[in-house]
Amino acid sequence: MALGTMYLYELKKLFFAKVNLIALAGAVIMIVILVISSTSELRPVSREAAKELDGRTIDGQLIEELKPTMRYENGTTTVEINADYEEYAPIMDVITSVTGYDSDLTQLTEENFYHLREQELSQRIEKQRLSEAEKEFWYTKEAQVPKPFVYHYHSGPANILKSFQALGFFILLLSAVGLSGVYARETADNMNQLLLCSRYGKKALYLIKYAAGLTWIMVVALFMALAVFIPFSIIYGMEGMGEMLQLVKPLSMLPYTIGEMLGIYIGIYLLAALLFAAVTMLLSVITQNQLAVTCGLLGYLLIDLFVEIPEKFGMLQKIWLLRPNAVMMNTGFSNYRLIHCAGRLFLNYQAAPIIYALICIIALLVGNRKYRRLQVGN
Amino acid sequence: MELVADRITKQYKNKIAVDRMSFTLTKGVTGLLGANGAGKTTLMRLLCGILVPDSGTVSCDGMSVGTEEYRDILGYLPQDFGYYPEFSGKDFLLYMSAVKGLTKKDAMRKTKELIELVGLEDAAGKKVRTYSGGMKQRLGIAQALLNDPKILIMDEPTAGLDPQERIRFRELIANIGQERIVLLSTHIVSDLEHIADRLMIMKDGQLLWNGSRSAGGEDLEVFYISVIDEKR
Repeated sequence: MALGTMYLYELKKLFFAKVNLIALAGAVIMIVILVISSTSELRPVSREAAKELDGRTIDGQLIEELKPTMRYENGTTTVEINADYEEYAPIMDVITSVTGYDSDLTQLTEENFYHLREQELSQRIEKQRLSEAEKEFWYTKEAQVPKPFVYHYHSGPANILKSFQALGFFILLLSAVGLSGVYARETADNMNQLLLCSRYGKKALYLIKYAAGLTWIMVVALFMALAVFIPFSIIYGMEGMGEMLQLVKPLSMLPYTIGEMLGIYIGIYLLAALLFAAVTMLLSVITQNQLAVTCGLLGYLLIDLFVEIPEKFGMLQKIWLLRPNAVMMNTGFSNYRLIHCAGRLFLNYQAAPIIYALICIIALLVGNRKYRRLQVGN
Repeated sequence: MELVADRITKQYKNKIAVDRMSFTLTKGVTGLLGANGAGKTTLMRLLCGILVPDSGTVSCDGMSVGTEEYRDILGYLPQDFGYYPEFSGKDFLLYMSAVKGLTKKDAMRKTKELIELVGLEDAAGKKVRTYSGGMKQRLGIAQALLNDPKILIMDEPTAGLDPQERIRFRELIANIGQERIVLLSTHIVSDLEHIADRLMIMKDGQLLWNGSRSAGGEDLEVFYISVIDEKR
């Protein structure tokens, strides 16, 4: 009974802390603005126009219909999608994601297009120096991808899929601001003196604070996700969940639907939120300094944004690509390195959740050990 | 019940805050006197188990101060402590009741009882950040008594209280001390004159005097100064 009350009060501390409320409100507003502004940058394709092509195979005939929008000059193809061709914009995006603009697209045929895609995939696989087992893994997957691609309207889920990177950054930011004081604040406020000499002030309180922190981050993560899902579903609708992933990521070899990929991303996003929370709270116990934890995590955020490890550092790059924001970024689709474990191969999407869960458990245990040894005024 | 400190020592970098102190506390009020920096707060933290001595032990009837059982019978009022700005006084006491392991029913009953005892009825629903220093101190006293502690350790409990509150507090402590071990630190000698059964005098981390209050004579202040001077 007392433990339940403690949990409720720990939640109250987190949910009613002014700084947390302000940070959450600010993050929700910013992500909604980002969502709305991203729609204005795109070529506007109305749902009605897009539906005219719904169910069409991306084949030679459809490519021919696109050609009046193309011009090949000075080694570059330019595409001009005017009002008459509005509905072709999403098809053009799929094609140019594979071909780029350097080749003469006015000469493109169906055979060419799918051959170019195969060629691009082989080049990437060679460049990334995949093992024979990895190659075999990917070619088996690729064989399951239906070809030719069939276009269906999918703007809503496709845009949601692309916004997970931003969600990942925001949730790290919110964790840094909201949870850095979970264990550190009481040292700064001299409250530890009261808590640490109370019956449940050590082990039980540590675990309850941890549980409350994870609850808070889950609620915040759901809020943030809804702040993306709701505007996109209002603007574009949610049709297209059952369509092939290649309509959004043409160079992916995963035989998944957009909806399945969205499910994977949501799972990874929620686990990443738990991971960020666990690490933030661990740092909070270790440093007993809220400001140091916040600054440290903001520093990591910058590193995450700007540091890329070159392909020649294979193992290091593999580890770096398992970080949440990399898994939820496009690199998840364009890096084909796999994780070898117990004689099996795993995708980043499969390995990352297990690693995140393990880190959460380790953080819990290490933090518990540290908290139980905490002293006042030493 | 006995609280036994056996040759406890605590050193901070170049300063020995508590130097090989040994004593036994029994039922009744023990006053701990000493100037600022004498080591009173460090000693109290060691007795509460929130600071670990470099050497020596503290135990209560064979129980180590690091155990949950010991914490269950302990009440502690630190010299200064923070508060949660989003909590009301009542919330704070209910939260502390939970941390001290009280059931919801007992927590509600004790909280109500103690709010009345320390005269915070009108302010119980207000946020603690709006409290004056004296009100916060009374809230601190209330939280220390939530679990009906058998051992009560109070560091400068009268700081911030007005003269009337001080008298009320002394009466309260005299009552509590009849059945419990109470250790009360202060540098205001008059606080102890009428309620202490025993006296401990500290200077520079050392225990200069440990004995019956009556041995100090009528004027405690004169006695305290004479003990300090004797050691100089």
